[in-house]
Amino acid sequence: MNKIYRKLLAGCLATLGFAACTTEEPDLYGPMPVEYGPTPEYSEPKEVKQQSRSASTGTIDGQAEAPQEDVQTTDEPA
Amino acid sequence: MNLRKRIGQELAHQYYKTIEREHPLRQLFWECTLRCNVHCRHCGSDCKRVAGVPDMPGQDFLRVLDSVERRCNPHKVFVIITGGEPLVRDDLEEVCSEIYRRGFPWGLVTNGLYFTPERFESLRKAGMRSVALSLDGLEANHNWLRGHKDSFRMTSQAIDLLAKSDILFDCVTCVNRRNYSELPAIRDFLIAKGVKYWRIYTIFPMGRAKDDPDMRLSDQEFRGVFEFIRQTRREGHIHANYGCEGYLGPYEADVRDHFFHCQAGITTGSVMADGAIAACASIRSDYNQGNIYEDDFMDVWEHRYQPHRTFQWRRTGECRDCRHWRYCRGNGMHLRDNEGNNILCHMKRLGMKD
Ligand code: SF4
Ligand code: SF4
Repeated sequence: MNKIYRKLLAGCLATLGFAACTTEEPDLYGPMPVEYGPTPEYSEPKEVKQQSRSASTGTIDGQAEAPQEDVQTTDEPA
Repeated sequence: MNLRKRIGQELAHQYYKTIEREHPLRQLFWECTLRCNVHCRHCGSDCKRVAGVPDMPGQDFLRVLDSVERRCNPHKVFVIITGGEPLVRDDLEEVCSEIYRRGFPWGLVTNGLYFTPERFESLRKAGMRSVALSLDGLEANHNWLRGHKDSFRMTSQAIDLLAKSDILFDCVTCVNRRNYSELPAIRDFLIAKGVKYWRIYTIFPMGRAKDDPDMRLSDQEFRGVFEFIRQTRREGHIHANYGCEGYLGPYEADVRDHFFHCQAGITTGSVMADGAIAACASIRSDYNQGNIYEDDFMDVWEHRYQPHRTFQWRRTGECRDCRHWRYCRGNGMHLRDNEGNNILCHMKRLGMKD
């Protein structure tokens, strides 16, 4: 229902000459680059299994605080 | 604002609400390093060449993607590699090939200094799909801001490589007082180089930049940036966009493709260098929602992020009685400090708040 409503709104926006945002845009995956061979097709997830997570290789403990930036950028994707 | 835009604004508002209800993950930033090869005046004063936080091992980020892949179509989640400067990592292509093999398209945010033809080729082979390249002026101003004498030359070379390729890319310019008057010349330079997309953002007055007279735009210049973008878009030779921050009232939909909407935590998630699970990589206040070394990324994505998906808590200070609240909702999340206060109101700077 939400999706249908969204498509309707996107359609109305387009009729008025405005772009809707990115959620429905086609993916950028494209053809596989050289030498890695085909990637398996995506299939809808079945049951969600919890994966156990091993400890990291030491990037958390005892590390300094992440630097703060003076200026925030808006580095959204190209 | 004319009637067409008013209706468009309201439709967009309803449209964004449908997205907020579903919060589909569409962009995943990976802050793969805090190391950098330049020392920008507008970047963090503590962004050193060798930072205190070690680079995150690629395997740790790939485990995050395993979590994402179990619940999302990976082709629909765009991984954005950011830093620091990602190209300081020698294993970048190795990790990114694995990202691609898992079905995720990925793109790079870079300052271009290490973007040689050889590196470009190896990145392409690793499946790179887009590049955001910083360009902060013509030669003198760019090198001054980036603090490196070869920076402009290398960025210029990177533009040439990208313009000849099939990779989607944009140039990203941080406008400050020094390069403000150069904007038309930068535009002409980019058009001559064959650049199609140009993203412009304004310097954010905080920390060192706040007191630097070379950095801070006057209110008149601030407004001039939007007039410039509007004009450039009308001319149609290059597709200019203001960055995603800031509700802009009458400039909405004139200087950006979309009406304002902060996507942080709604379609955008981030894994920071220390493993923090954040919303947008531009957020520097502590709105982290977990850590990949303790939490499952998708569990966090699905069950936390309330500060990013709710808005009433942001209705404080000057936002409380603001007449633009409905469409602004307190500006972008990266403009909230740790106490929850908004630290920049674009409408106020434009002199249009009241
Ligand atoms: S006061 Fe707050 S809600 Fe109003 S325009 Fe400024 S940032 Fe947006
Ligand atoms: S937090 Fe800021 S940079 Fe990030 S999506 Fe929101 S407005 Fe854009």
